[in-house]
Amino acid sequence: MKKKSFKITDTYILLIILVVLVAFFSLVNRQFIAYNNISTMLKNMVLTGVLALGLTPLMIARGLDISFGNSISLTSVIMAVLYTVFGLNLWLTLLIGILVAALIGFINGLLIEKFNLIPIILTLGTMAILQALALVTANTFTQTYSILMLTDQLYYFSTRTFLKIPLPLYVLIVLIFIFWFVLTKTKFGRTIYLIGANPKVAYLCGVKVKKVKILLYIFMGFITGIGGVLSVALTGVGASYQGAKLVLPTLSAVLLGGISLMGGSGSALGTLIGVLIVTVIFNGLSVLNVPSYYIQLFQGIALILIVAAYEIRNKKIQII
Amino acid sequence: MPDNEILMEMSGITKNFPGVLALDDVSVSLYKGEILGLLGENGAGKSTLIKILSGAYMLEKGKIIIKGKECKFLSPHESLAAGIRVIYQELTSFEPLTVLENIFAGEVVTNKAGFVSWKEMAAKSKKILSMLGSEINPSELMENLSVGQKQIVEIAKAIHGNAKIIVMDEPTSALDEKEVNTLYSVIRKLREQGVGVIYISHRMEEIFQITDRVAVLRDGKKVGDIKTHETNKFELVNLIVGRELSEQYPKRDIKKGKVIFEVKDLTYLNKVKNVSFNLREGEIVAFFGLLGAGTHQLFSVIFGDKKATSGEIYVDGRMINVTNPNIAKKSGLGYIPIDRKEEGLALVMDLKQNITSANIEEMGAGFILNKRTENEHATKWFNTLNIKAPSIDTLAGSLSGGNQQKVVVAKWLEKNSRILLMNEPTRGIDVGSKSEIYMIAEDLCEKGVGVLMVSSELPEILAISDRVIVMRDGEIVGEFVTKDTDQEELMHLASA
Repeated sequence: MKKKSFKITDTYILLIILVVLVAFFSLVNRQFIAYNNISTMLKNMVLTGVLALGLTPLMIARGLDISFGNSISLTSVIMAVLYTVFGLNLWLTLLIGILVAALIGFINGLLIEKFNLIPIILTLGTMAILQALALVTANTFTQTYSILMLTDQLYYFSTRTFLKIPLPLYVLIVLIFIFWFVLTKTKFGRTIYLIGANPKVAYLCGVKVKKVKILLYIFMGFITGIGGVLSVALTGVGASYQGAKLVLPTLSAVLLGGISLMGGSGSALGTLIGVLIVTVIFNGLSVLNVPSYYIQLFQGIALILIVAAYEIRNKKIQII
Repeated sequence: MPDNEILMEMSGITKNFPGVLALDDVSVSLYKGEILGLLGENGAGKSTLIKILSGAYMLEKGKIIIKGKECKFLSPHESLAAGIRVIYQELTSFEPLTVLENIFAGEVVTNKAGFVSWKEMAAKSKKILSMLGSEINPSELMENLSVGQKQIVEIAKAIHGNAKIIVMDEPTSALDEKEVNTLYSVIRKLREQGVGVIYISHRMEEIFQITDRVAVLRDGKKVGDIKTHETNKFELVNLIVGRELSEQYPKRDIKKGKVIFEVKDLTYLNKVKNVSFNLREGEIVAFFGLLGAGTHQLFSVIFGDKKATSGEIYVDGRMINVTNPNIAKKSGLGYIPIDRKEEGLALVMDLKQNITSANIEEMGAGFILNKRTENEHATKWFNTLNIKAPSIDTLAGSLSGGNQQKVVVAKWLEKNSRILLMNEPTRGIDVGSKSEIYMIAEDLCEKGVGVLMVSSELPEILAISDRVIVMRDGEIVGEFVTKDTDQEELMHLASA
C-alpha cells in the first residue's frame, strides 16, 4: 500500500501544477479559457499525446525512439504522393502510411536489440535517414517539399465535433484507455514493467526480453503511423518538415509524466498529465503573444528542468 | 600481538533513522595491531557503525576518539585524514586503469620538471605490493585481475594513503580458498605494522582464523565483546541470533525417488568440459570448485542463460534443448542466481510482483492480470517462508539480504519448479536466514524436488548435501556421497 500512496502523491503534484498553470493563464488572459481556444488547444494536443502514449511502454521497458518525428514526415509525404500523384484510394493510402511507419519501428527495434545498440544513437541515425528520404521522395515526385493532400473525409474528421469535442480527440481518448488498460491490467503490461525494472532478471524469469522490446518498437512505429495520418488530416499537407518539431514537446511530456530513462517507471495517466501540462504551457504562451523563438527557448529549458527535478528527487529518496 | 595503545574508540554511539533505532548506545574500541571481528545479522547495525566511522553518516550522539583526539563532526574528509579506510564488499576500483594508477588514484607524483613520474610511482607501488607479499604487476590493468587481487590492490592503496585503521566488509565473499589465504597473510602483515583492522564477516571459520577479538551487534545494540580465543562458535552464533540454534544445519533423512534430471557430456567453450551427472527426487547435489572451476558457468548453461557448445540435458528422461531460460523454466527448472541484486530480484518492484514474476502467465485467465490471484499466491509464500517485511507491497530493495533471498526462492516455488538450481544460496546472508534457507531446501526435497547447489562453503556442503561433485578447470574430478567424505579431501581435490 505504501508504494501506491507514494505514486499518487507524484501524480497529485503534477495535477496541482496543471491546475495552477491553467489558473494562471486564465487570469492573465481571458481568451485562454474561451471554448475556441480550448478546442484548438486540445486538437493540437492530440498529436503530441498519441506519440507520447506510444513512447510510454517503450520507455518503461528501457527502450527509446527519437526518430518518430521524421518518421511522420516521411509517412505523411509518402501518403500525399500516393494519394495526389498516383491517385491511390484514400483508405489504402492511409493503411500503407501506417504500415510504413510500423516497418520503420520494426527496423529500429531489430537493429537495437540484435546488435545491442544504444537506442538514442541508433534512432538518431534513422532520424537523419528518414528526414533525407522524406525530402527526396517529396522532391522527386513533386519538385516541392510540401504536398497538398485535401480530402473531404479527412477535412470532415479534423473539423467536426461530437458532443462539442473535436473528433481527433476521440482517437487520443481511445488510445489512452487502451494503453492504461494494457499497462495496468494485463500480463503483458506487467512484463513491460519487469523488463524496465531489471532486464536480466526478466530474462532469467523466462521473459523473451528482445522479442517483447522489438514488439514495443513496432507498436511505437504503428502509433507514429497514426500520428502521420492525424498530421495530414489536421494540416491538409504531407510536408517533409512536418514531424521534426514534435520530438521535443513529446519527450518533454513523457519525462514530465514520470517516465525515467532508466526504465521501470511511468504510466499512461502520468503521460497524459505530462502532455496536458506541456500543451497548456505552450498554448498559454502563444495566447500571451510570446514570440515563437522564445517559446522554443522555453521548451529547451523546460526539458532540462524536468529531468533535473526528477534526478534531484530520486537522489533524495536514495539518501533516505 | 596487539599492544595496549588504543587507536580508535567509539563510545555511546546512537543513530536514529525514521522509525528505526539503528544503533543504540554502542561502544567499540580498536587497539594498535589488532584485528577486530565485527559480527551481527543483516540489519544488526554493522554497516551503520562503519558508515559513521567513515563519515558517510553524521554522528548524532556519542563520541569518537581517534589517537587520543576527539572528533566531534567526522566528515568523510576528516575520516580519511585520520587514516581510516573502508574496503567495501563491492569494490570501488577504476577498472580500465592500471594497478599503479589505482594505488595513486587522486594524486600524482611529479618530477622536478612537473611531469608525471611514472618511474617513481611504479617503484613505490611495487614496494607496497611486495611488502604485502604480492607479486601483482603495477602496470597490469585492473580489469584483468581476479577479485582477490583487486582487494589486495585496494589494501595497497589504503597503505599508500597512510591508513591506520582498515575496515573490510565481507572481504572473502567472492574469493576462493587460495585467495582467502593470501588475504589472511596480507592482513597479518598489516597487524605486524600496527594497523588496526575491523573485519566484518558472516563466516564463523574466518572469524576464528583471523581475528583477535570480536564485537557482536544485535538489533543495534552491542551484545558481546570477547577475545576470540576465549569463545567458541556456539557462543558466537547464539550471541548473533539471540536464540539457541539447537541445530545449525538440520539434515534430515529423506527418501530419494527416481532420476528426474540428467546431464550428459555438457561442454561450454573451454569453461565447462564434458560434464555428466544426474539428480534424483528429494536429493541435494552440491558442486564444489575454486574460482574458475566452471561451476557457475555450468549452472548458467543448464538454465539457458549461456548456450552450451555441446552435450545433452534430460528432464524425466526426455531430452530438452535449453536455448533460453524460458525453455528451462517450462521444463521445470528454477534458478537462484549468485548475484541476487542484479539477477535475482527487481529491486524497484514490490514483493508480490517479484514472487509472481516467473509465473505471470498463471495470474488470471487469458491476457488479463488478476491482482487478487496474485495477492493470494504472493501472500501464501510470504507466510510460508516467513519473509520479514511489513507486507507484500514492500519494495524488494528495502529488505535485508536473507529476506531478499527468500523472495528469490519464493519466485521459483510459485512457479512450482521441480529442479532447483541454487548458486551460492547463502552468500552474504545472516546465520538465522541461512538455516531457514536450508530448511526450505529440505522441505522441498520432502516434496520430491531435486536441488542442485553450487557453494564455496564446505561446511555448508557437508551439512546439507547428499552428494558432492568436485570440479576443477571445467571438469568433474570427483564425486562423493557426502557422508563418506570430509573437508580436507574435497579441498585437496579441488585445488590439486
